[in-house]
Amino acid sequence: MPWKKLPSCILLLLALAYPVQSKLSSQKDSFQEDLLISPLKDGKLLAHFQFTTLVDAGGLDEKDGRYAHYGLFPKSIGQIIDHHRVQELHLTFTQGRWQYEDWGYPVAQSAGTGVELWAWMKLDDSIESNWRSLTNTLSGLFCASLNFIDGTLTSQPELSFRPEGAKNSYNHDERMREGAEVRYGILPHENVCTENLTPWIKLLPCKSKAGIATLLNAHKLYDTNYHSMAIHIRPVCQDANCTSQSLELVQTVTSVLDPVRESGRRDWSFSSLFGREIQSACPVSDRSAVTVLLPSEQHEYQLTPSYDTIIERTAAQVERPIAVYNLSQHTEPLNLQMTWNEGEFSYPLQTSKPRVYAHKYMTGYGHERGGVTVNIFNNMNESQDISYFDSVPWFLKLYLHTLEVSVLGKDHIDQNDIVQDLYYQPAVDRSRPQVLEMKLRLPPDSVTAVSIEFDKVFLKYTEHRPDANRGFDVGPAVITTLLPAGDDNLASTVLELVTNRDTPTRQNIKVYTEILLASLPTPDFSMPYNVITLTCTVIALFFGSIFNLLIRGFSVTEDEVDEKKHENKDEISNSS
Amino acid sequence: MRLPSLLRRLFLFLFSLAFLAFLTPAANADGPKDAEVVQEFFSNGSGHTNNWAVLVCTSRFWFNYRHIANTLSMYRTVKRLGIPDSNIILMLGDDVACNPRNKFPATVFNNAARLLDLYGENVEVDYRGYEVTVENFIRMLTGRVSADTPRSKRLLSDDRSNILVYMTGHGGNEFLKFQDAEEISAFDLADAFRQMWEKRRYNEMLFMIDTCQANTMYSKIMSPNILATGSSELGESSYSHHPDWDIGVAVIDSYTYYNLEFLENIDMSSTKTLKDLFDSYDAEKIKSTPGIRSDLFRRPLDQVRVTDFFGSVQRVELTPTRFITT
Amino acid sequence: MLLLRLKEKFARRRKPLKQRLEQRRKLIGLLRHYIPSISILLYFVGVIWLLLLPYNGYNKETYVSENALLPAQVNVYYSQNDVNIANEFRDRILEVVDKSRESRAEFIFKELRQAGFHAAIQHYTTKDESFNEAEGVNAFGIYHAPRSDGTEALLLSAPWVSRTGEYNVNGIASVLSLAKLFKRNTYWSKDIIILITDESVRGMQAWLNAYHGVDFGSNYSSDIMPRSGAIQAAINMDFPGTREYESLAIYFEGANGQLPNLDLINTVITVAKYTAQVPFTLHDNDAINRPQTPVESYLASLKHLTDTIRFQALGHPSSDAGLALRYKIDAITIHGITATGMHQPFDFHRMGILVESTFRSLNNLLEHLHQSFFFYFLTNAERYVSIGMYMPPVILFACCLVLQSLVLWYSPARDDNLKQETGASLAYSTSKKNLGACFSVLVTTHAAGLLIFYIVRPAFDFGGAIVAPNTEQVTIVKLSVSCGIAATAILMAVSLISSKQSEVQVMENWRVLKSLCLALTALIVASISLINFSLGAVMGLIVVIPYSLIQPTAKMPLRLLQAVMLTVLSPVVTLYLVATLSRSHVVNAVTVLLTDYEVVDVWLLAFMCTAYWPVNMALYTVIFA
Repeated sequence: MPWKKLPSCILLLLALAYPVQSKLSSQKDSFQEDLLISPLKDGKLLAHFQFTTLVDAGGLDEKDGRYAHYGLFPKSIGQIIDHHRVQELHLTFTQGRWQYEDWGYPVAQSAGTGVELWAWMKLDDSIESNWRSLTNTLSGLFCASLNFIDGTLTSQPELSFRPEGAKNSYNHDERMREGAEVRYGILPHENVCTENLTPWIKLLPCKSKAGIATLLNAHKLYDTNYHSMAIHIRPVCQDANCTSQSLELVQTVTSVLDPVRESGRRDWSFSSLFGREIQSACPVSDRSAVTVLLPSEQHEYQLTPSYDTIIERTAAQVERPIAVYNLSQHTEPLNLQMTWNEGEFSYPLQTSKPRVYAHKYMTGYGHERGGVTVNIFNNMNESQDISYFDSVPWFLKLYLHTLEVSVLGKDHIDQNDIVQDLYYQPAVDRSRPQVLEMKLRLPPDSVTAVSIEFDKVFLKYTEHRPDANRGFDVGPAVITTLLPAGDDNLASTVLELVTNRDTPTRQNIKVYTEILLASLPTPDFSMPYNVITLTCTVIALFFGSIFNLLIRGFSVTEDEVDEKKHENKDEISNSS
Repeated sequence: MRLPSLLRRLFLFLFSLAFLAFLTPAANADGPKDAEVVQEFFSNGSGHTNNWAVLVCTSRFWFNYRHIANTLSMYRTVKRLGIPDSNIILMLGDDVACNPRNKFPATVFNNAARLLDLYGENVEVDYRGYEVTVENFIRMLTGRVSADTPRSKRLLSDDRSNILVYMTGHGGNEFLKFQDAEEISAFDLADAFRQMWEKRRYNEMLFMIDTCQANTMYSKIMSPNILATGSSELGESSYSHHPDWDIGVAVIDSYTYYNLEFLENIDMSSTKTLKDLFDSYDAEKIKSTPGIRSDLFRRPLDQVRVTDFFGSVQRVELTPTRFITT
Repeated sequence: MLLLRLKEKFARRRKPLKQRLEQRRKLIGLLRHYIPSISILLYFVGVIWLLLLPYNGYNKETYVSENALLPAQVNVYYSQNDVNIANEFRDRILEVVDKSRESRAEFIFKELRQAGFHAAIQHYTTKDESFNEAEGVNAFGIYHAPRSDGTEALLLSAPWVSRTGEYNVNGIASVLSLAKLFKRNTYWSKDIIILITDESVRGMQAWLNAYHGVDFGSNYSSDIMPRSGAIQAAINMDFPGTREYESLAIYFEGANGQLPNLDLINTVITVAKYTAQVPFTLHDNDAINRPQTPVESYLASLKHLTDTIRFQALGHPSSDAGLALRYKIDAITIHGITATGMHQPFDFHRMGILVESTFRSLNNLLEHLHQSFFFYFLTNAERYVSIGMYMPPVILFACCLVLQSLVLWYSPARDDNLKQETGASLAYSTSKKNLGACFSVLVTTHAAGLLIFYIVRPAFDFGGAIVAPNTEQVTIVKLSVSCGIAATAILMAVSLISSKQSEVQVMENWRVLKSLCLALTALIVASISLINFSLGAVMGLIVVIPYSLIQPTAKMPLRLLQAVMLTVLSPVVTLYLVATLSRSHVVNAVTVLLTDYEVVDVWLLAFMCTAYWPVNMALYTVIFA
């Protein structure tokens, strides 16, 4: 009878459940949240949110997918990277421009306006379809038009966009490096709004209900001078030998706020900046902290409530005190407030510039041709090696022979001394963009100008976008270099210090230039057929007549009377 | 002739079966009748079990703020009345909330009094910017999307879905402009709807359109179960309702404004019908003549609830005891 | 079979050959006789057409084509507070205005930095009045719009010296107060650039060249200066002195006759009408007293038209803003006309509202201005003539010349001789034309023209052989040299055409040469009118009748008269006449021409030397043939 077999069934089920449970308990994930606030030289305020979720990965060659169970780590992300065989992923949404000269270097290095996506994917036959599928899936997840990153916008950098971080598994595993390829795409004109922020917040364990993420108020965030929201996924080693690995998901929001705009003073508080307070820490977080980088002189400001811990000026290269608030120890809502002991803020006339930065601009005018010039500034007393990367769309036809690399004001320096290496990928019309990559050695205290000329393509009438007279966007150039900690990347040094993550001696810095607008020649969309008809009529009617008139020659003809005489003669001769 | 005994038993057995079968039709007849009761319960006469909304704004550029506001007002209404984001396809031709020209970032208002922010904290835009094209629209409606299309961009309706299709933008005689660059004609739209009917992708549809000469847009539809309404007749323009002098643009169109006036008084339990909605139209206030086409729709309008299309009301009945089937 | 029968049928219908030929001869004779008169008639039709354009029936009211602009539909926030700030700036500017240009630029740099702009000083090298290398300094600041991607920008500029010669104190104060207002708001989709230029034309041109990377490598400061995105539109403020104004004048003509998109002017006019409520006009005409009678209205419109034609024909930009047009930046200058005390004046408040509302409308743009006209004439600030209306007269001029040219080409020289021989008049000239002589004349005159151009250019200084103490003397020397070259060329040409040839051939030659010259003139007039309509129209107006009347005669006085006519039309004398009419010295006129060529890249000098003068020289040859 069937019911007699029931107890054994139950026992079997219980027996099976055990290994599953043990697997559950062995898979650890951890979550940390940090907020760094740092005042900037021109009166603005940098607020950097960082949320780190780590999950044990086990071996990275598992066939059935790495993560069978999702706790704090978001399932949507795990499934996406599994399905598309992605090993490292960086997706950034940026609104506004990062002003390197006034603000130094950002904590999150990707500062190119628009949406930037780059990923290291497993190299096999389906990598292209995986990339395409990845962009589509991410577009659905984040409500962005990432599906526009197709072949015409995708490039494969050779020198830049290497895997990041000393703890990154790539830097320990030869097999991983060989078995993967990078793909990079950017949409400079993509706008960022609440519909992108909402799914991003939903990836956090506590969402926007508890913890530091409660401060993310769209109405305030999108009114700032710079706003960048990103997810970074990479495999990291747990120990020095890299025997066990984890998958790290870092979600960052970087925002530059301007309290001077409203009141003329630099004073700020959470309620004035974000319209909210932090109610409590996220309960599942291992660490929930707010860090404030304080000015050097204590009499200049007042900070309330007072800090939990302070790191004095002993920290490496950071000459200013750092205040840390541990939210897990707070029971009351936290509304940080800082007031400056000064009247109206006066902008400093000269500020110290960062060590390496760049500006890109379009040269020339008119609709036939133009040029692009990038000025790269090196403010250090010694040479600096940099990698330069630029992806130019196919409709601006670059001429490689017009590429000039010169140092402004110092004509004696030869181009070959500066350019160490050059990679160039020519464009295929409507298929792939041009990629120019160089290794440059910047002379000390100099401005290096890289310029190249192009012809503008006359696009087909149907290829123009709905706002055709605006023009087309060209993505930023990216300059990658290694710099030790300094005055201009204080924020990232402080954050690394406080979170005890990678603390390298030399940090990988990426400088993004501005994006450009190329104005291509547009036809008169309202009149293609009218113009063709009119032109053909004019040519048909007038060209023929005038040509005839000018070229016509004259010859003598016989008189008609003479003709008839000949005819009659013939008739008579025939009839006879 | 006498039958052998085996045959006799067989005959008796069969006879008794037939007798029993005859006796139990009353009990067995409850099978199909149960199904009918269940159907009745869940559909309330309309035959739909789920709701979808397709909200399309076809205009780009800052001065078309009001079209985005129209669409977002409808979005807010259908969300409030129960349709979840997974069942709403929202197509916005441009981004006005985070547009740098917007004096109030991350907000969209449909009223100069600025009391209600339509954008809010939780908005999901499925097609935005350059993705709003005629091709994408028709592909989404007919289901012929590429394999890579994510789920949120697909219209996964079935033959028990009631769909609300709302379109707004600039239009004319039997056409609607998409982003000032291409057009969809009334024939294309009718054809898309016919494909949907053939593929059994809807149960009933309400097609609402707010553009100039809007009523011409639904004149070519020929598929059954479609109810259509538009904001103005052939030769008439649709007007905006009022501007906001701080933002510098008009914030809502008349037709949609008066629709919202009615819909704001509806909640999920409301029993108001579409006839009430259409009766509330006043051509003088709207400044154009709204039209209604109900010849293809099989139910009389005074029996169609507003929430049949604008909301997703699941019928729930509380029984005192456990429901036992016979 | 059928075809043959049809041919026969039609052949029978046709008149016999002789009759047809006779008819043709008569027709051509008629044409040859009347076409010259018809073409002169066409010329007068063209002139009358041009004169009719100012009538209200032939022009239309302006309207804003670009829906995105939405002019005068938004609240403005320039308040009394901003007026106070402007007054404060004015006092500080007055202290600095007489100092050196470095200190003036430093002052602007500091003020813009204090306002929160990304300020910079640009040093540039340019040519001064003596065409030697000189330095200059501009000061500007960029407001990076916080929420935008920085790919587009709007430019608000003001020169240190106004067009009236006074300092542009109110203009700069207004610009600085507007800078502070713009910085307070975050609804900008384009960056805002505030530019205060040194030395008006030179400073503006140097800044625009540096911004667009045109003179790369010439000056370190210009190469590394901060830049924003592509500039979409520019407003230049020119409000001299410290007083109040009664009306707003708009200057819009650019270099080489280029004009900004009409929508920009329409936007400013709409805002001036409804939001700022100030009277407005074009150039420096009267804005307050509206014409009462139709005659007055016609004359006022005609004055507007001729003002524009004057600027365009000379290729001279009417204001600093005109320099920006070639970079696809639509730009105009607004200038305050001083209050006479008889009408309600306006000052900072309404100036500020005007510019703020205009910038708000320009901010709404998503694309370049492209909906409205780029080719138009404004008969007053609110009425325009479209290209379809004003283009035909120039075509008529060209037709007039072409018809005469064709008649000359086909008319025979030996008309009477042949008639006596055969009893029939000749239809066409069948004698071989001596094109070699004619082309060599034209080649000589064009070569002379090129040589003159090479010498007159400021860059040419005779190899340092002649060291003149000032430019005036150099200019006079250059002018005399050019006249000398022209005279030599003419003499050479005359000898070419009349040497070693029979009388009959010489008679033929002058017809061919005149035909070629007229055709060339028609070509020049028609082609130039496409690029710069006013230049083509003016050239057509002055040369058609004189060139048509040139004929060789035996009588000396007539020859002299024709020679004098041609001399009057030659560039040197024309320049002298233009200078006298504008009440200045011919040397000044030449300096302006050369400055335009050197600094602003106006091609009028090249045109006059290489296209206009050679034809003039060649026609001398016709007189003396």
